[in-house]
Amino acid sequence: MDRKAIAAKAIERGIIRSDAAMTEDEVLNLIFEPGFSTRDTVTDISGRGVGMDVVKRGVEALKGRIETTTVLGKGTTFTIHVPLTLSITDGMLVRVGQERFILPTVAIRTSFRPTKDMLSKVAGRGEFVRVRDEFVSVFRLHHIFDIEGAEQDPTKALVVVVDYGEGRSAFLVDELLTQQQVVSKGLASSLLTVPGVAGGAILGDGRVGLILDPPGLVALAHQTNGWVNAA
Amino acid sequence: MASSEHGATVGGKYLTFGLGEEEYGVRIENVHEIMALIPVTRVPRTPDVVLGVINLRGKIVPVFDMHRKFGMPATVPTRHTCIIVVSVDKMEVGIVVDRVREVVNIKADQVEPPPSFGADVPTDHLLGIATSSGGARLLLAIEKVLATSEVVSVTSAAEASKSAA
Repeated sequence: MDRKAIAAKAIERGIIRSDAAMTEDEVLNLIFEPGFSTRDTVTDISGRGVGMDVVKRGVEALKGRIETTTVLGKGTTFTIHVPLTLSITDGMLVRVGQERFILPTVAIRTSFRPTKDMLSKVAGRGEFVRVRDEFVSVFRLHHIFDIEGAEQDPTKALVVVVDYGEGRSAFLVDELLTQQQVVSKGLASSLLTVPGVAGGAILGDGRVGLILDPPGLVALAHQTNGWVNAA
Repeated sequence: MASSEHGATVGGKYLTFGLGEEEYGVRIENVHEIMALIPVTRVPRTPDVVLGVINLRGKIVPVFDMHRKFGMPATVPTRHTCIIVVSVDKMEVGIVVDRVREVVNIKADQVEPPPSFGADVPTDHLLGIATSSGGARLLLAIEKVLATSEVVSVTSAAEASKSAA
């Protein structure tokens, strides 16, 4: 971004006075002003000076902040800081064996106990379930995470259908416990950066519950073949 | 054998604890608190040495099994088993030990550098061995015990599982 162009435009629009002394950061922050645009023409999607204003208000609503660094002719980096301790996740607490996990409710499409005729396999291993007119792959959470004591019979467990990014998959869990809002916290440093786990939260009983990350979980399931021992 | 520059950094107060038959010590400055063994939430797909995470007054803190860390069989909890919360690189980390002993003042001239055992028994996480009354105490450089190796092994395990697809 060209700071000079931004400043010139701001002066032209009357947002700042021409003799205003501004630091480079202050000039950059002008792009977040409502109605500010360096464009002279308005197209279908841009030029009204709305976009960055909306972004800033959205981030501020989350009590975060935006840092902007720019190199003229090279590009611009926006760093968005959102306080992790303030990110509240609406989650479904699920049980697998003796362990509990939180699945973000936004990702959950449906959950049900499958009957035998809804379940099929590819090559004797890849399990899938018929959900209305659709076939959805089923991954067993206890296989992916190597949890002992979980229900092995899908018709006695629950299938949770989860939307992620571009696709849809289902996870086999033992039980849905409760729906609750949790405050998501990081798992204390990179030491515990695990695919499929987005973070942790303190549950009602004071113990830590892990928040699952559906896209990561699906990626993990594809690697580990969460269904490999399904028999 | 403790040279003066060696001694200047190793003398001081240590919290001593037991692991199996052995006695260890960590610098008291590193110790945040000692707590009873509470239920630990396992984190899947982490190495054996990571027992999981606990809720420490609203903070999520990882807990390591020191038995596993030193290549011994996993800790069998008894009523003496404790979690010592230590700070490593400004981060709080729990370590599970068999029993907590006492706080001792160890003088620099009581500390010997660790003997060499070859590659099988790494000693670079030891500050030295204190030869006070009551046998040898292995003084741990806790930041070396927990920081580098675990970060490396956890991330490399994650990468290995990725590439093993």
